Amino acid sequence: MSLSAIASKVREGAPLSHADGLALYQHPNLMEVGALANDVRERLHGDRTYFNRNLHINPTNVCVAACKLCSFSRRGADADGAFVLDVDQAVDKLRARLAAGDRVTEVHIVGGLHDGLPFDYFTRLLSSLKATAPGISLKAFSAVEIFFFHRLYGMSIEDILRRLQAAGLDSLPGGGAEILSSRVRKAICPNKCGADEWLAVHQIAHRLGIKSNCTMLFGTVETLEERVDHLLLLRAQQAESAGFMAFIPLPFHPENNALGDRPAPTAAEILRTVAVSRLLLHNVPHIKAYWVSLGLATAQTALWFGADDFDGTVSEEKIYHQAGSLSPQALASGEIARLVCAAGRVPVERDTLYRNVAQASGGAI
Amino acid sequence: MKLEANEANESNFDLFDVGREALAAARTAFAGNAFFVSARRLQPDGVWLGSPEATLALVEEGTLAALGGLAAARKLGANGVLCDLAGGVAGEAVGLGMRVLACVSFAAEESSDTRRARLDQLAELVRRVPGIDGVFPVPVGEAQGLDTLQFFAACRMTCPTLHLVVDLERLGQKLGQLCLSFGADEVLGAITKQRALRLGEHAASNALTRDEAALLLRASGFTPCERLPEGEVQVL
Repeated sequence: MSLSAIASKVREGAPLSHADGLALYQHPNLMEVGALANDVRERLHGDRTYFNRNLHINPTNVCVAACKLCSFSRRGADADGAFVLDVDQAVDKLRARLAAGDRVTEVHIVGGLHDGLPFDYFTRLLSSLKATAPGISLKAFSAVEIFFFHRLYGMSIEDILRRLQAAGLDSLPGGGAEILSSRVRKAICPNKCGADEWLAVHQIAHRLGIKSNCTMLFGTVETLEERVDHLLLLRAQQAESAGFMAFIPLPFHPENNALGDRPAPTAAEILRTVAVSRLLLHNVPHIKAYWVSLGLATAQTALWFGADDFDGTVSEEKIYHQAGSLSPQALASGEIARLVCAAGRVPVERDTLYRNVAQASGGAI
Repeated sequence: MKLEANEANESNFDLFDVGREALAAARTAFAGNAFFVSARRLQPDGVWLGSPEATLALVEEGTLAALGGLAAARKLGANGVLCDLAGGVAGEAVGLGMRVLACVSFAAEESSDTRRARLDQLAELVRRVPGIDGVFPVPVGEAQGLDTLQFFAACRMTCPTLHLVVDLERLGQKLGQLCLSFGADEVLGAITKQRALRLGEHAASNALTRDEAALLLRASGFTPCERLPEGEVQVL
């Protein structure tokens, strides 16, 4: 399939096929693939580039999954560097941001699969954060964690989600998808939930009115065919349940983990994946250039390769930095706005659901 | 789920217009090849920074006075010069058979007039000293992503037939590779044969292996070529 034939389908709004996806990955001219993705990005969002003010909280790094790709987890509560935040410590992190005058609109919560915590630890965590800042949006627990809770606490996925929702959960992050292939999951994260289970959690969440994001961790052992399969599975899920807000491509970081002999994806590979994602996922509204994982320069450039979201101010990011990310651990909202403006785009502060909080200028917001 | 189209692009800047022209010029100049070279640098105190096995042994023009001049740097093993835009030493270095790269600085916040004037100075130097082999952009302060790419594109259009060299140590691997889509055709830095696992003290290693360097070039659509000692080039 030639690029011009794919471009015709894109202009007509027709879904691209698996063969189209592979052709985009294999096309020799990255710039032309990027330009096509940029056409879609500008048709959907113009120059607008979204970001939010968020805080990352990792309740624990104790994890039974032992994934080869992970640099963050510790096997047991007594392991060197292992931690579990108590609820007050987590709340204090939010209080500190609010006390500093930061108008945080979202708390992003993901952690390890700790088999020694009671379920009410998580509901108390959510309700305490909500009580501290009732207007704040809690985006918490990846589908992998939700499925782990289901198994550990013997409740249905729906019950788990309903209870968390009652405690203050607003949306789910998109992590843990890795590559939705049993072959790849067996190789890099054999103890995590399977692809069908990951999708099922999102399907149930969407049915309950809980929006979510979706991701793809690329650059480990997967083939290009498996990347395209993954994107098409997400697209099919979105066609069915329509609850994904954003897709976030996540390049593998090789430092401090068991896959450390592999090179990290290059910037060109990252930009191509951003572009292919924008083109294949025609029914997912937003493509996020998660600057923590991509690095600032690549994330800024990705705003021309299909991405329309720069993620947020973040603060306290640990998972990617333990895997060798060289990006800062936080960015001020004004700095994000400046980077977006320098890319020739228009920064727009959003909330979790992509409602405008403010249209930002290049300076402080 | 059907997504609605939004308003048209609100600005006139188009990254792809900038990149396409520069990329095409680089491909034409070097027939689709791009180069990588391991490099080390001579410090003002005469100590080398980098592997003694590096192919390119560079000295900056600004350090020559402290070293005792170009001949002294040659005796210490220098085979390449990073000359400034005044180009005082460029002609002499070319005459000695050294590889000469013209340094051209850029800063994210500078005006377009300032930048244009510097590029004009570069063009004048290249006209005046025919043996200059390449252009070596040097960021002042922290290099910004798209600003760097635009500057590389401008350098390519200013000197369409010279090598446009990325300093991986200053720009990093990711931004450095992106420059290859905006007119650059060569990357220079600490490039080793093998690297230890990224564990423990090696976790933050920035060294690039030869295979990774070749991958950077290949993933940008170029045929990778390694510069070897004695001016040879190996197509990979």
